[in-house]
Amino acid sequence: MTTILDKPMPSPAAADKPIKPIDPNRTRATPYVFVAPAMSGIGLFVLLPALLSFIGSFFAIPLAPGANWKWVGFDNYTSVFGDPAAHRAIENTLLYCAMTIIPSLVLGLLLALLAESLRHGRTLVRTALFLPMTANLVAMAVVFKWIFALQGGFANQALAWIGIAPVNWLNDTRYSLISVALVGVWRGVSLTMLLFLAGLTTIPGAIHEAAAAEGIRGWAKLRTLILPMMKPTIVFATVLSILTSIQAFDQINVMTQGGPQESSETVLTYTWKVGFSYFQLGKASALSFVLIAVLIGIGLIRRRAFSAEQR
Amino acid sequence: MTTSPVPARLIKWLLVLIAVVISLFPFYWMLRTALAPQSQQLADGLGFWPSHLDFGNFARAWNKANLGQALLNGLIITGAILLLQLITCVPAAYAFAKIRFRGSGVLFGVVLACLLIPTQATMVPTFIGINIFGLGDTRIGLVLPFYSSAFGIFLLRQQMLSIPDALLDAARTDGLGPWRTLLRVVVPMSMPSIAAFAVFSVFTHWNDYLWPLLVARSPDLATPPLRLAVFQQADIGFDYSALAAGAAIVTAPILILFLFAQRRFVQGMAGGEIAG
Amino acid sequence: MPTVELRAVEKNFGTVKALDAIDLSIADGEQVAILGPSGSGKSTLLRVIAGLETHDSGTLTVDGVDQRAVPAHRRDMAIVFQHFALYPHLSSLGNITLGLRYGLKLSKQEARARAHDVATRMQVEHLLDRKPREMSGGQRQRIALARALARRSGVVLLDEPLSGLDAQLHAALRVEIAELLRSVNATGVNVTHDQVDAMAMADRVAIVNHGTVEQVGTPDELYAVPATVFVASFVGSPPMNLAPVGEDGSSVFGARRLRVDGPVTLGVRPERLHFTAGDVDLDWRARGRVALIEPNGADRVVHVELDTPGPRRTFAVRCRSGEQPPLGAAVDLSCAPNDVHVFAGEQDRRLGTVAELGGELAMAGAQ
Ligand SMILES: Nc1ncnc2c1ncn2[C@@H]1O[C@H](COP(=O)(O)OP(=O)(O)OP(=O)(O)O)[C@@H](O)[C@H]1O
Ligand SMILES: [Mg+2]
Repeated sequence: MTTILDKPMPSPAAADKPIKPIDPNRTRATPYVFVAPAMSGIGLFVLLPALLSFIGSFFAIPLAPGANWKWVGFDNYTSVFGDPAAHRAIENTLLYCAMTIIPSLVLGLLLALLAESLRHGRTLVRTALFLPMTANLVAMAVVFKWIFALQGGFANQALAWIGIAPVNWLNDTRYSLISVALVGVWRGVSLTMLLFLAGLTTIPGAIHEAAAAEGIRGWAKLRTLILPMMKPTIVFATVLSILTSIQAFDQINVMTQGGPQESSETVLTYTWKVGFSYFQLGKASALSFVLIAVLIGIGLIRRRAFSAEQR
Repeated sequence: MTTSPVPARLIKWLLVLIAVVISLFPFYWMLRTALAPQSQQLADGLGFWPSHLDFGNFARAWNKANLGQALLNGLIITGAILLLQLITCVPAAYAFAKIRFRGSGVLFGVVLACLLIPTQATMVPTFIGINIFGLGDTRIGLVLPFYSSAFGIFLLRQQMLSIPDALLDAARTDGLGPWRTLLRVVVPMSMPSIAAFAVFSVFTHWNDYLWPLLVARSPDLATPPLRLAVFQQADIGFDYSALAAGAAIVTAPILILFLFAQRRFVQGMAGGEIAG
Repeated sequence: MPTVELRAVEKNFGTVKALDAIDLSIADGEQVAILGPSGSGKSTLLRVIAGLETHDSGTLTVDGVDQRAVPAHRRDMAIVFQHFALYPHLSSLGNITLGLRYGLKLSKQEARARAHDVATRMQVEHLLDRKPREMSGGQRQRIALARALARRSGVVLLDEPLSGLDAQLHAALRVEIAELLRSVNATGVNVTHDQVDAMAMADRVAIVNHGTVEQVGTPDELYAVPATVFVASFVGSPPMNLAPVGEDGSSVFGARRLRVDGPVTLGVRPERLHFTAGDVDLDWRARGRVALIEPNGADRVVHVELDTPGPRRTFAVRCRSGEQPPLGAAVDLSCAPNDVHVFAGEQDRRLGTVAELGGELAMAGAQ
């Protein structure tokens, strides 16, 4: 073994092989090789279907493979606009969003702050609060269906115990949407709390110390330090909550199947019915895009209102 | 944190307690129902624990709903999706985070856009496509649409951004080449977020209901939630004991996984910390 | 054996000119320090040499072989990064052997043997099993250096290898690293913004400013004959006293008038100024008032506020402890003409001393 002190070994680069120039093609191709598989996946199964769906919303689409699509212009959209059930579905989706997104975010943040501030049993509390997020929503919906059952369900037994007449949670048009939304919140809070907790841990300890040294505490600290520093997390949690809420399906399908009388029908469950029970695939696509248009519209209005408020 | 006054601490604990109770209640109720005989359900009322224990519910659910096979299906499908997603998303996330290349901005824009496209906008064409290629009602049809994940690319890239460039320079002067750099430096350093994403992916696809409902027409292919849903729609719709037992069986694997992976999961979602 | 040559090397980042026509040749086995202020392009220069950045124009050769097409790991070079850049998930041994195994394609045993060998030399064997976060700054630094040396490259590049270490460790490691590099006959290129480091570790120092090399020379040369005003103001502690000459030829040396046709700057080293009236005919003299006395070991650095019209100006004067005038005293300063450096021209280049240029009045400004 030569020691490093008697160095001059043949230099490593020159050693055996002649120096090859960097193959520019190879190094430049690498990133594309890295992204190609992933991009093909989302391209084929997200982007392309979304595009096809948009195009398809102007066609009458037969289910049989090989059969030709027939151009129908805006017929699918007219059909959506003329369909009271579709109106109802869009309305319900927006209601469901309102009932789940805001409570999920507010409660999630509150619980994250609470759980973070505990000095004892923090891990235990966290675990307990995370569990809804991991639960299988179909399984939980089965349980909730039993909890909300008219006869012998826990909810009604509890109401009876305090002397209130039983409520037909799942089969009353007034309550069905609220019932499924409760399940949505139960689960949504868990996810947002996880995100907020994760966001909280990224705030460096020095910030907390600096705030303590300057006497910034409580609400003032939350408003001037914590929330601004968590802005990326808040945006992320909001986006995820919106996505989860407009795609709510599992518990609705299990608990109410959109009923009674479309009272808990959402765009997704209705799209499902139109597409795969009535096989009006073009109309199903059109329905999705009407929802997307409505959501974008609301987003723009809110933004307007918000920037107007700022001025 | 300084010590808050006693009433404030009491209120805090009270709130936490309420939240914990609400959060755990459905699980508790599931177990309570699953452990009581069907005949006893109405009689037990609000009692904390069933007056008789009956483990037969689990056997009934297992056999009637054929949950054994469903769990196996779930395992195969979830595992295959996880493997594929890791293989595709990790390199892509690395490239987006750390390699400058022409078009990376546009391509990452596509990833973000895909993150925002809801299922309802894609499910009809995807379903038709899968059927055209004869993959309807096959395991491949259940897995294929999810072999990549926009969310995975996004989450992993987020953490990989915090890997110091100097380390990648060191890997370059060490002569590791792009693949070795990925496997020997980037992957080990991104382990927290990879673990978090893996758990997230398993949650999502183990619990997925919509796509199997569309694709898995033959009962042999049914995944656990699908089997459970069918079970509860079938004739025994009022056998809450067996249903709750079934729900418990379907929920348990993921719950156990979570309890084991919890720490890494939370860390990873935080973007973790990478110190040199 | 490697000699590194840079000719007219340029590097731009967008509109930022990081390197501008760099000429530098580094002889085999030589220790060269690159010294310059923050943002002057030191790291960029090092990264171009290492092959981590490709230069836009000019040539870089090692032993006459053009390096443009040679990827970083195939150059006969090893680099120690600014903040060590140790792989956090690997032990020290893993850090050292990773590049040996996959970059140099050594066998596992050979890589380990080399790692142990270097570690023994550097007396860090006991650290081989530790991960970076289980080590102190100084220990990490040694492992980073061991990783570089284990490659047995002809050229070792170090980017601020001592930044972030406390002063004592800094001084100790400075010597250790320099000895180690010399003992393996490696050519060393050491980037630093600390002139004491540069002087202590290097045979020659290249002063870099705004992406150009202002001067290359031995520490003594830089001190005695600074090529530009920038070098004069950057080397030495305290640095050379500098004062511009007005258009009418007046300066802080009140009695002397100079003939100038362009901007001229005069400079005197602090230890060349004396608290005496001096020789009226020969010496250059100035008057002022003691504003601050800075203890500096056996010496004192006396800051004298000069009695000149125009903006306030202080000169630092170095004298033995005990020889300093009291605070606030009015003092005379004098120095010999061959200690007064004259800088002029667009780049503020040094023309020579007053003595060399033919004494007072005869002096010309910029050519
Ligand atoms: N990757 C890059 N992209 C754009 N500009 C860069 C990049 N790297 C360096 N620069 C710019 O080039 C100039 C020289 O930077 P460099 O890092 O070489 O300075 P330095 O002398 O090493 O400074 P320091 O002592 O602070 O490390 C600076 O103006 C810097 O902003
Ligand atoms: Mg630098």
